[in-house]
Amino acid sequence: MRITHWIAGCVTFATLACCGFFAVGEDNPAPQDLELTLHLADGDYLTGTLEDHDQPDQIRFRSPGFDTPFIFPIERVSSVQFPRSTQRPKPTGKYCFELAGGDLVYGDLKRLSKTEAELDLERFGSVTVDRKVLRRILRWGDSDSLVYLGPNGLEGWRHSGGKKRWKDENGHLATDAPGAYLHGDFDIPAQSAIEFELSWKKKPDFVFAFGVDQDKKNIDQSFHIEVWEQDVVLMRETEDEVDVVSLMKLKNGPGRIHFQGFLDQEENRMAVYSSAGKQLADLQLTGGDSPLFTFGGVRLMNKNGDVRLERLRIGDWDGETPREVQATKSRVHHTDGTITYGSVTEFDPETKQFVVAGDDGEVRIDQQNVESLYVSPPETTEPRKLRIVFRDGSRASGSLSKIEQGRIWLNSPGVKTPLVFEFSQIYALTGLGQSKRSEPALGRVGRLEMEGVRLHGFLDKGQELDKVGALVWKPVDGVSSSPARKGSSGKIIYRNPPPPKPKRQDPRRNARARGRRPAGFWGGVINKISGADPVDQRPGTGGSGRALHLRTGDAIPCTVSKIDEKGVTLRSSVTAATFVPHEKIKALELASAYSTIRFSPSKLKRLLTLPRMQRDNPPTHLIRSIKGDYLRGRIEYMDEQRLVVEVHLESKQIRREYISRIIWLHPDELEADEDKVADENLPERTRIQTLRSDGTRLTFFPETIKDGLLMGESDVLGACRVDVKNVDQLYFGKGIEEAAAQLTYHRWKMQHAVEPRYLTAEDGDGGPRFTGLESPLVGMEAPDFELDLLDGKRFRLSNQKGRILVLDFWATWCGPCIQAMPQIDGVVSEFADHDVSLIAVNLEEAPEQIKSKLERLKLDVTVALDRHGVVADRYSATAIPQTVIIDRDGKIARVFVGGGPNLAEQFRKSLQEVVDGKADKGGEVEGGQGESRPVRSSPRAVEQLP
Amino acid sequence: MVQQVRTGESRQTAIGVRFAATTVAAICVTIISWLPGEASAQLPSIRHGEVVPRDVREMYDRGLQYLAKAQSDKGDWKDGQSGPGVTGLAIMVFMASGEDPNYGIYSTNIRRALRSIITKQDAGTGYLGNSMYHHGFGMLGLAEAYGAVDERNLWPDGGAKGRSIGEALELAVRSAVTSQKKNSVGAWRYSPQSNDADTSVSGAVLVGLLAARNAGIEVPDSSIDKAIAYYTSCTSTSGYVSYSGGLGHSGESTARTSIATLVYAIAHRKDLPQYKNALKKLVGTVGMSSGGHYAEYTRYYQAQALFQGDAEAWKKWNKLLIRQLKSTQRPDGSFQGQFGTSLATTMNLLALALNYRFLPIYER
Repeated sequence: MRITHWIAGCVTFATLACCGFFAVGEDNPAPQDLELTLHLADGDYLTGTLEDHDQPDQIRFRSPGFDTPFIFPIERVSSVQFPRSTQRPKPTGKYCFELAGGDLVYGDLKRLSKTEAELDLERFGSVTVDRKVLRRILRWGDSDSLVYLGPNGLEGWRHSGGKKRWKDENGHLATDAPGAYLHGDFDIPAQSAIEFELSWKKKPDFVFAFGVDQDKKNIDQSFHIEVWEQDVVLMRETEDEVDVVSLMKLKNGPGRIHFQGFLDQEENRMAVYSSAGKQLADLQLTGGDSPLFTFGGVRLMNKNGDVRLERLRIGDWDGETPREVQATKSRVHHTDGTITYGSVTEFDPETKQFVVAGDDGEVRIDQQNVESLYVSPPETTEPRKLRIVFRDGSRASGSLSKIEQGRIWLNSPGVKTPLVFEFSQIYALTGLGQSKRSEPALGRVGRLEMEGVRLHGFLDKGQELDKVGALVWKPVDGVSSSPARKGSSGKIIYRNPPPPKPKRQDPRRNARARGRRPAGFWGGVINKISGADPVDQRPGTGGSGRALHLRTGDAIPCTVSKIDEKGVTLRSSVTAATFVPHEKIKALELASAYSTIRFSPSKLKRLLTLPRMQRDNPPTHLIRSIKGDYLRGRIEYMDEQRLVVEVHLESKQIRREYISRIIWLHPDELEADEDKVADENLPERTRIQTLRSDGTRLTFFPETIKDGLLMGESDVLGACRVDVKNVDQLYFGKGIEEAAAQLTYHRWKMQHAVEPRYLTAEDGDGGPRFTGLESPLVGMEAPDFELDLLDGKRFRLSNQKGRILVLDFWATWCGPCIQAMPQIDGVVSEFADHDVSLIAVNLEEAPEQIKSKLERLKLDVTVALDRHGVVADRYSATAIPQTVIIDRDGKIARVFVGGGPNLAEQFRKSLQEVVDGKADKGGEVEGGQGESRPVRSSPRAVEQLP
Repeated sequence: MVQQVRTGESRQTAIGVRFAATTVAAICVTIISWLPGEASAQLPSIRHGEVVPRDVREMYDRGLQYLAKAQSDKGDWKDGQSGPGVTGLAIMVFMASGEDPNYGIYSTNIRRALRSIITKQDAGTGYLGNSMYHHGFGMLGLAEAYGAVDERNLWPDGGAKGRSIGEALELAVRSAVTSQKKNSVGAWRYSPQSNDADTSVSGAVLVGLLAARNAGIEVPDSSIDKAIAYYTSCTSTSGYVSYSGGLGHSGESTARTSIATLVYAIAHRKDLPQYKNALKKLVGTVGMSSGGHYAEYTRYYQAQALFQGDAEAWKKWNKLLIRQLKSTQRPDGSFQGQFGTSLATTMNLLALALNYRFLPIYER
């Protein structure tokens, strides 16, 4: 490609660069069903589909959370994002036509006169355009010389992650993180044409290096563009020489650069031109004939400012530098690099010649000799409301005529007929003329947040009907309102919640509280927990207590007269309701606690863990005394004087005045984390919850919304009425539970104790499968020891070399050991012909005790007496039974910890392998080691395992 | 205290009185005359029984209705495990309800069930069929009905008359005793010809034999003694009861500990240290989850064993039982279980039936 062509085409390529690489011909849904994201002027967005609409410059957008579509004027639309893909079709056509307003289309030229041009476009068919909007005609053909065109998001780039993050903004790459870099190994040719566009919002401070690898030294010594205070410079600094040229002066504030670089790594040279073709620098190092190095990468580094890479196009370059041009004049660039100045009066389709009225009279130039034509000089262009960027990089702007069946009709100034195209061809629709909102909001403006939706607006008049809910949302950017679909969930934020307050501790107060804290009065059943009570940190509850907290998060100030098996009987000044059933309650505050003590997370976890043995009988309440103690149990009854609570199936009575609060533990909370029901049926009615700034919540079914008043009914409290102006946040649907789950009381949920792995191991007969190779001891030299035997002899391990030994660590109190030992003994006796012996190493027990146990078990094994547990320590036998196989070389070959139904089988297999000399070739590990299961304490800190 | 009556004749009379009574109070008064001597040490409230909680009555009634509906024309139950064992347990459920077995609303169901067991019994060997589990539970059902159900109405008029309940029961006892004699460990396993034994099947047969003996059928003392000896050999000092003898490695089982406790108690062997050990272990499991396997089977035995062994522990356990069953009973009155709906329903209801204490086998 010639340089002249390259310069003329720079805008074209640059435009392409802002588009991603997209695939065509994918199996897409019907165009009108494509899921799109609509971005509005102030950062709001919603996902959904574009619907048919015939009002000019409006779009009708349906979001699944709403019953009817919203209508937005195009002026309030920032963009509509269409589905993206990673492949990009190349634009095709003989010419690229650059039109006014930055539009680009590709195709053939059929006719050109003094007033108009007829284009045969790949995308739109035959189109007649006003000559005034035809800026340039550029030879396009194929684009084989293209090396890179982008950026297309972060694809293809290595980049600094984490805090030095780059953001992908509509395909542009932006960062304001100091030290962030982008590195592209594009294998650029030694002679490359590089065109790029960078911008910044606040301060430029970057380096853009060309022909680099990842080596810092090479990056430092490369040709690069860099910001030096008020200058953008091109420079290169090697060990021997340095050269710098200023490319432009900078002004404060936002700015952009658009350069074309011509890099010749062979010649140690780089030239930089402005986008209009003016040479800004031509830098060549003198040092030697051979290149310093040639590398195929480019690297953009942000130092301490902000930078955005908007376009980058890299192509082959033939090494010829561009000629100087008179940028403002109409002209024809010939393929040989020469330029003819003058107005192009027509294209003669017969002779395939362009007619140019030059300074020296009319000139006819053959079509094949023309590289580009500058037809009409830029003039002020008519304003455009939107721009469509197509997947192949062409683009068109204008005003929206209509949308019908997945197609858009676009009126572009100077183009005689509307341009019609399908959604599937679009990369993005961008609003251009952003006007202020025309209508004032007729209600308190809040921010609606739902899945895929963020939309400022206000609650419009609404009435609950059979199929329509009362929550009707009117976006401030829209011209229509729509009811939120029944069963949808989300929230409306009127005021952001306050940031969490820093925790303040008063050491004196804590000390006093601890000092005063008396012994628990619930006797042995009380779990005395000292720790920060998270309930006390909850905003909005106040210290006074005496409120009933519902599972929805509502708090009802009240006095409770009774709790029975059905629920709580109360009197409240805020509601006429006198009864709330258990299933709706989360907590009851009765009296202020007079100690505030700190809870450690581990203690809290213990308090809320349900042991496996209690699975069938989980506690349903947590009762907190005024002294800070907690009791888990099941409330049977409470009246003005006493609370009756079942603890371990026995009823206990507690004087009511000692109780500070009760937290309900619901069985469904226990199961919630195990199997979440993903798909719930849509409830018949939409519930809302209002949260006031003082933290009080009210949950009800809205029936009518009018003049900022929400009116409805609560299933607990009866009729409700809330003025929107008092509401900080409004939740609806599942949003209520999600919000409530964040409340302190709601975080008090029982959790199942973790299942030991031996119970969860997937195995047909329910037992774990070990290979004996899991222990880190395997492969190590067996620690030597010498012990007395039960029969009075001595045993020394090192005297047994050449034999296979099985050490079985056990104790008489360990049930699983007693079960395992006969199995081990049985298997060892099967290998009697192979010099295998079993030594049952007893842990710290008296010989008499051991003898009597063995007699009862009718077992005859060699028992070694590890009276002080020294040998057990050497073999890390912290849990028993532990069985160790030592091979003929004195190395530990297998270690089994725990028994289980598969022990004999696994042990036999392993012993066979050791006998066969396959000590380190055990089977694959199919499961983990058995979990320890403390069953009872022993004289030593050894657990027994099943 | 009145001595326990052992003859079928006098028992029939007394039970006739019992089931005619309509109020719980009246029944409880009657029960006193049936209490064995050692019951005198029990708390009055436990001995007499207390008012049956409404929850239990409602649950039990719903369950009865399910079983009545699910019974086949032939008198047995087909959903899941099926056979004389399930039928025998269902008879117990109906009998335990307190409804009159001869004239009450379930009398037809009871008779149909009894006929089903008797008809299928092998006339030569007395074997009730399917397996020794079924034989044991079937025998238990017959024993509980024997004397309470009027034999004259058992077989429909005009049709072929089968064996009487007494005859069938005697035959079944003989079958069980013969099987035991041939067994080297003196107990039972799945097949009547088995030569090994386990504490689960043996429990079913032994309780059946004990019920038959209590009902007045002659059961050799040697048979009971041998079976009890088998259980003592399987009970460790910790109260652990093995599955098939010795100190095997079959894991903990509340069901087996319950069975052992129960057979010692009904065999009047509360003097045995093994009984005390097993009971102690059993009481320790109250309020603990059994892990979910064989839940209904475990409950069935746990209820009776605790009731026999420790009234206070039973009361606590029973409270939890009621709560659990309330939350799992299905609207049609049935319960789901791993061996089928009817068996799960019968076993759960029989665990609850201790609240009524109408069955002779529940006597202490």
